[in-house]
Amino acid sequence: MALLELDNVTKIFGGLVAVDSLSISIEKGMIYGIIGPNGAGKTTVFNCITGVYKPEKGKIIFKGKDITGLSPHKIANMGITRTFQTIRLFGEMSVAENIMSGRHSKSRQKWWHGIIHTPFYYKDEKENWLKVREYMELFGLTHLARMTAGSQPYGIQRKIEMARALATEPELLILDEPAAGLNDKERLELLETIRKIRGMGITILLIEHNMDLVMNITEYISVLNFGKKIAEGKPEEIQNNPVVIEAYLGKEDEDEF
Amino acid sequence: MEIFLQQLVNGLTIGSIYALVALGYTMVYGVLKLINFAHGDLVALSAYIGLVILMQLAGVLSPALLILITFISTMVITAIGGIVLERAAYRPLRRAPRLSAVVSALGASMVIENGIMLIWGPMPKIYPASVVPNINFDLHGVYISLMQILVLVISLVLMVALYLFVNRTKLGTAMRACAIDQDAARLMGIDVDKVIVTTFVIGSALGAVGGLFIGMYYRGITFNMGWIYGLNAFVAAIIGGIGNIPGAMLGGMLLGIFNAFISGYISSSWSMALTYVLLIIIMIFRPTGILGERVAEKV
Amino acid sequence: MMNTKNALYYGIFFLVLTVLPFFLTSNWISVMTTFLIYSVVSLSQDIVLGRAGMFDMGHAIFFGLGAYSTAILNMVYGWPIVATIPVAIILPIIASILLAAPIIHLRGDYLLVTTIGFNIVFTQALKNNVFGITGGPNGIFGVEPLKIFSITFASQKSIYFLALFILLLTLAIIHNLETSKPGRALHYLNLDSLASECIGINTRFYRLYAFALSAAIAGLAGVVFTLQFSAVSPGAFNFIQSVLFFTIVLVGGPSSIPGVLLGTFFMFVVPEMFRQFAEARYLVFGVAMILIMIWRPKGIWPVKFGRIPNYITKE
Repeated sequence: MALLELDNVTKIFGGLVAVDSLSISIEKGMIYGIIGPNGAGKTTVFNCITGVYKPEKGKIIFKGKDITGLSPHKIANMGITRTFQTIRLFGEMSVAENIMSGRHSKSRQKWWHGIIHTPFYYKDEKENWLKVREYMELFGLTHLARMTAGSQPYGIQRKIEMARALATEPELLILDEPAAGLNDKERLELLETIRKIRGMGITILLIEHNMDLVMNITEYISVLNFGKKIAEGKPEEIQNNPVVIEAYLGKEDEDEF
Repeated sequence: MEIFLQQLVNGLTIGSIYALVALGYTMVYGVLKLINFAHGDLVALSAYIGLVILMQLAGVLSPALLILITFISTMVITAIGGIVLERAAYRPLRRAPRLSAVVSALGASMVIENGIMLIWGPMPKIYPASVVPNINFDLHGVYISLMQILVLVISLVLMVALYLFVNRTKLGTAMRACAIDQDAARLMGIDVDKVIVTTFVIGSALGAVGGLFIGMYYRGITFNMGWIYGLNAFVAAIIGGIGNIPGAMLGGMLLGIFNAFISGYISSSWSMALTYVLLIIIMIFRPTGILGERVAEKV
Repeated sequence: MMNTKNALYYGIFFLVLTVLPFFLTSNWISVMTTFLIYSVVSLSQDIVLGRAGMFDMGHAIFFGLGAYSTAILNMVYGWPIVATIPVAIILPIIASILLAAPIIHLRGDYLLVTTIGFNIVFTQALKNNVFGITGGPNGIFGVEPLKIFSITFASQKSIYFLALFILLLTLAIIHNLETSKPGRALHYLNLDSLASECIGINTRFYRLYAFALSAAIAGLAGVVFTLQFSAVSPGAFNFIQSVLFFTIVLVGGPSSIPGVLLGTFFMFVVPEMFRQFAEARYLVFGVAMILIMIWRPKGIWPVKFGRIPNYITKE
């Protein structure tokens, strides 16, 4: 059984069909890519999966459970975490606190621990901060722990966001254009990190504009155009697919990728 | 039926005044996304200024000319007050956290309110009785006074003028552009500072008309009345959909009529509470007001 | 995770407050008692406004509900004061959840206006003597003093120390809050609600949690307020009071405990010091509010994030 399955998912914005009966199926442990020209509806797909939008039609099945239309925090608690195209960190807080936010769903503190600290609180608190330490080490952020997240350079912010997402210990990690705004060196690091994450047994779904990266790392790709899936397959199949090439290069005024 | 129509006339009169004051809130909110808490106090100040001018010129000029001069000079002085307010309390905070500007607005409100009290004292001041001749027209048992006609006509003219200004002139278009996206407007070469100052000038001048009407219609004015009228007008702006100019007009009228019916049919001791119950209900079921727009967050 | 330096500062702070009443005139003891109570209310307001970032301008409702619960249960139903305390905490919690639940999703300014609305309805209901128990515009007089076992809190000083104890309790709660999962969740959802949802934070639950906790604390403060004056009246809980608590938090520094305490001092005690200037003081005060916001937009003593345990950065 697939880990995540989209079955005829349709999302409409005031008459505009942003995602048009999309069906995809992601197996556990794979790195899955969604590509497509600007405005193809890729981010909308992510927003539907993570509960930010409720699709008009279709079903989203995660680990055999229907998660269509659930609120984002419920979906996150079931094991799907995402990053954002425009980085969304808690800018005024420290790097460590940002990553600690990812521990929210794994921490077993109850509401009364905000009022009274019990021995359980101290144990739980320490466990989770040690996890934060692990993730900071994984991303080489330890020396920045106390620094304000919002004042870090772009590349570091991407790492913080990914560390935060990983700290939730997701089964499916959704990356929305993780390489956007990164330089070549950072992009290579990112490739490494994504492989490392997969090595941890986490399934990855990503949107990316950078073709090198997508072709390099993903095992299976779906291509969207105008909200519809126009092709799917292994990277080498996609690379040579005439329909895909037309969608990307068909018009002369289209941007280069 | 007569009571109904009578309350409708009264409600429309109060509603016009609310609408004039509400426009000041809504325009500033549209451009700056700031609740200008000092606006109500500026309105109160204008009522005092108007009274001073009236007393100085009474007897010197003919009634029509007296009213005209009073209105124009009060509008000008209040508009200058609006400019000073913007310069001193809001412009330095334009890049600050939004709530800082709210506190600054509350501070400005305190300054104006207590300034009025220091100058004119804590006791109410009374407008002279017959600034506008006390003539009542009897329309089959429903009375409408000359004052009420004046309020309705002047408010209507000003609102139409404002509507035309915002929708038909270059500066008005710039204002709407700033309301949608200030940074983009600046990049397009719009002088945002000028637009903001214009907003304060127009909002304050309209508020001044509202303040004068309060003085002439209700006659008693107090240094702290800015809060009450201001809040009611602000509620009107919210009900109509804040940032939305026709919304403020509609909200003002609706609130005025609502208030009049409550006072007429239920009890005036609950009228303020019921006004806010109405507000709360609208906020729960239509959070952006009647004519407001939904703003979707881009993810 | 309170470090020794902070512990020292708080120690000095409480030491000063403990010896203070022995050097003050009775008038100033009264002012300082109210200062302590307002500090508690402002700290509770800060949970909603500063930490969770919800523009609540009706906080006097919960303060007033606590105060009126004690006064009504004591005067109308003859309960001893001690027995009224749980009600004065639970009733504001229930009210806060009922009021906040339908409006909690509203964007900042809309929430602000709606809470002003609630506050105005609340005070008008008190003035109109709802259910014939609120005493109308004059309120309720002659509330009994608090008796615990054989101790009676009747003297001014004893009420001062009662207020000081409540402040200490509140500070302990807020310290626990800010170093816990729920407390951090409030900051996260304040700074980015969507990102918080997407990492699994039930933002709606924690928003209501913030309201409930702060209402409970404000209600408790209300009890002490009633005891201080042996009376309650609607004017003490009108929306202008809410504006005061709101302003205290922002002038002092949202989410910052020393900031909120300083804010309360500046907004409440300082004007009392300049009483001889009677009317002019509020004008100067308004100017000061504007200037503080211009010079220190994040408050007099802004919050500092990054209080993380040392062991996570060490090998």
